[in-house]
Amino acid sequence: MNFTPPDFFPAILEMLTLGMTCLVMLVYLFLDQKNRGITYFLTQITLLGTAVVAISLHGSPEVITFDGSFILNSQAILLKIFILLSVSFVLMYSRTYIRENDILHGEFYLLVLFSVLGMEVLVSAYSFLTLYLGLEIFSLPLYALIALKGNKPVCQEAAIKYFIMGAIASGFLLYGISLIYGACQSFNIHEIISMMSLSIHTEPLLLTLGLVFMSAGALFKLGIAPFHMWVPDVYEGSPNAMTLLIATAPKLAGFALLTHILVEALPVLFPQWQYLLIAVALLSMAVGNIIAIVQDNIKRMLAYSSIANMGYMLLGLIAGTPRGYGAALFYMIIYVVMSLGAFGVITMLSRKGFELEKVDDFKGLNTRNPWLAFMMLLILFSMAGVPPSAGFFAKVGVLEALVKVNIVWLPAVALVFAIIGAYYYLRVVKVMYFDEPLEKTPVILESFDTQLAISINGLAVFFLGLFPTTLIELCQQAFLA
Amino acid sequence: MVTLTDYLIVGAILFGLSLAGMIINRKNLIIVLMSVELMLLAVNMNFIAFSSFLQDPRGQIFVFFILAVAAAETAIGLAILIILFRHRQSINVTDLDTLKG
Amino acid sequence: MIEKLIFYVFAALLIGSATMVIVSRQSVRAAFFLIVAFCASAVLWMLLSAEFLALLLIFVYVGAVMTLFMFVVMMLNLDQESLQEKFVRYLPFAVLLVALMVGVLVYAMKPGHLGELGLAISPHPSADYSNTKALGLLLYTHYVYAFELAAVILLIAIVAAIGLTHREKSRNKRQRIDAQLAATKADRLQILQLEAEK
Repeated sequence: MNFTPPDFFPAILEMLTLGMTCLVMLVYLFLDQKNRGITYFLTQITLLGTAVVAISLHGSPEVITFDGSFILNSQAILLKIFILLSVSFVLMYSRTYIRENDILHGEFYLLVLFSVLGMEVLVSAYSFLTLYLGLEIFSLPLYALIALKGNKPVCQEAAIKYFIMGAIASGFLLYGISLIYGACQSFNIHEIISMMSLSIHTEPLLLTLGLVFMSAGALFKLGIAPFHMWVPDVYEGSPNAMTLLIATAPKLAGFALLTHILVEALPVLFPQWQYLLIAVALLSMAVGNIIAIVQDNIKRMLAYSSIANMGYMLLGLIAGTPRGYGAALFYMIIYVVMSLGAFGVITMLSRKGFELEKVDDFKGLNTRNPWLAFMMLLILFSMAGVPPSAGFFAKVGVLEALVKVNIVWLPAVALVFAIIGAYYYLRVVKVMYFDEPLEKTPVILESFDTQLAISINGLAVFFLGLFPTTLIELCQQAFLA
Repeated sequence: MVTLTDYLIVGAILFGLSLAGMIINRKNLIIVLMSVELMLLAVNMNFIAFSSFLQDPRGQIFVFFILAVAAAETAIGLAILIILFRHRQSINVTDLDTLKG
Repeated sequence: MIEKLIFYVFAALLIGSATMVIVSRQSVRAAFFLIVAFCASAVLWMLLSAEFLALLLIFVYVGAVMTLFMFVVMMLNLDQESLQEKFVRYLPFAVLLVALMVGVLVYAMKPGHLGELGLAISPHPSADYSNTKALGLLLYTHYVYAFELAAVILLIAIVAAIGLTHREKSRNKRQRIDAQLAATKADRLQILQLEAEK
């Protein structure tokens, strides 16, 4: 048996993350109680250091290694950079929250790092085996993280719900993979592609069923209607810091999961999955935007908003062109930046023994902390799609991609839902600026880095709206190779 | 002789049963977890049947990893269940009414 | 012929016990039927000449995972009576959905839809073929990346399970100043409107 050892270098980001995770674990175990704050800094160093390496790798040619199960291309690198940065922001926002709520922070930071590792693996997966393993590595720590806050039953309830839904999702995904394995005799993406181009060995019915099961699994993970039931409950039940985490970076990983399956492995079945996605996208936009209006709980409202946003992202994939895929990626990145800010503010406003949950808790935020209110204003305007915010260009991008392929009715419907959706975002703005505060005490952010992070975040939304071209081009390039 | 179809039908029925198990046992979380195991068993059955008839051991490699992951998944699921029980003294899903869904 | 007999006996056993898992009302009984289901499918896997995985299923699943299940069932000592009601409410819906799905799947798996594989008879490897060796050769070479990832998953399970269930000793009676300061009159004092006695 001839075997040449694979090229390990392309997996440098994963190896770095894993190595540092083990280091954090050892350091945490041998530190005494007082010095355990160091784990936070080590985690940040890991995330930012890996992100720097990832940025330096950007632009290098596409590599496939580990016997065709690992790919490093510009799309993977772009997604990894944003995953690493967004998790780093998540940790900055939730640092005070973690300390005040007595969450075991060694375990917290460790599990977050493991989850990041899983997302990196998933993004770089080029075979269904690594895809599945990456998916599990990133989801298993998240289930545990939600339940980690010891004394709140509602958190464990959210955790078990998330866990069971996740298990069903991976069950569907695996069943789909097994059917595709039977039809194509392989679960390596490049072998599936070459098998499909021959199209003598493949069985259409098995393939279609495999496609349906696999996409059901992926849609479950992304929380797209009709598989969205868990999203509002899990967002509401999780501690705010965990909601912040599960609402941001995992969406990027989920996007990678969906594009690996549909765009990379099964482009031949485009006519089938186009119809499938049109149906779920319409349903998601309708369910998300309409139910969000009646929510009083801001976390539930943003959960429905995430369902609607996933629907908009799908529009880019429905277009079926590299331009559309690029627009979907851009939409996803902008969405993550926005929800990072929105949930970040929610987490920052929560204090020990007080979880910010109601829309009314935002009342008069402007008088309590004008800068924070202004950042939230920028983010909400962007979510509502008010020009010239980043959210506006993201929506324009996906709609334009659809119009380019002569599908006009779908963008029109999406536009109507976007206008309905703008209402509930603007309601929060109204509450922040025009209502009397429930408590007069000003909100003071203790740590400097949190303040810096939210400022960068809010201004990023603003400036990405003014100068979106660079990022749009990067996203487009990711799918042109 | 036993054909591939026979094995695949067993897999399909198992998958259906496990899904039904999750729906009708929404009350007892332990049985829901067991249904998850059944679902993975159905998947494994498919993989091994295809792998054997294709004479390609890679399908069995996939099963190896599914078994490893499922064991880890069960451990975490049961851990969550235990702390849930610690606080609630019940794993009956109808008692879990704090969340609306 | 004998192969066919073994297949049908154990396939029936597998499906029967899987049905019992989902309809039993007691977790212990369900766990026992799940063990039977695992053993029956191990036999089917043997028929497919996947010996290594069949043994793995027995050792890891019946030996370890199911023990874990039993342990949890015993430890939680669930109130059986309360779990019995409202079992039937979702039954028609479940049966309909599942019947539909299984129907589609079974239709898709007719021999005609499987191409040349549909007509193939189950292969019998030669006597010197070692399933374990074949898997091992693949696992430590081409799948080394996946193998390392599986190790990470097990590490995650350890960290998560310990982090979740580990309880720090919280017996020390420390003063919780923040709770004291946050306490309001409404928390401590309840004013009841009592009906005047007549």
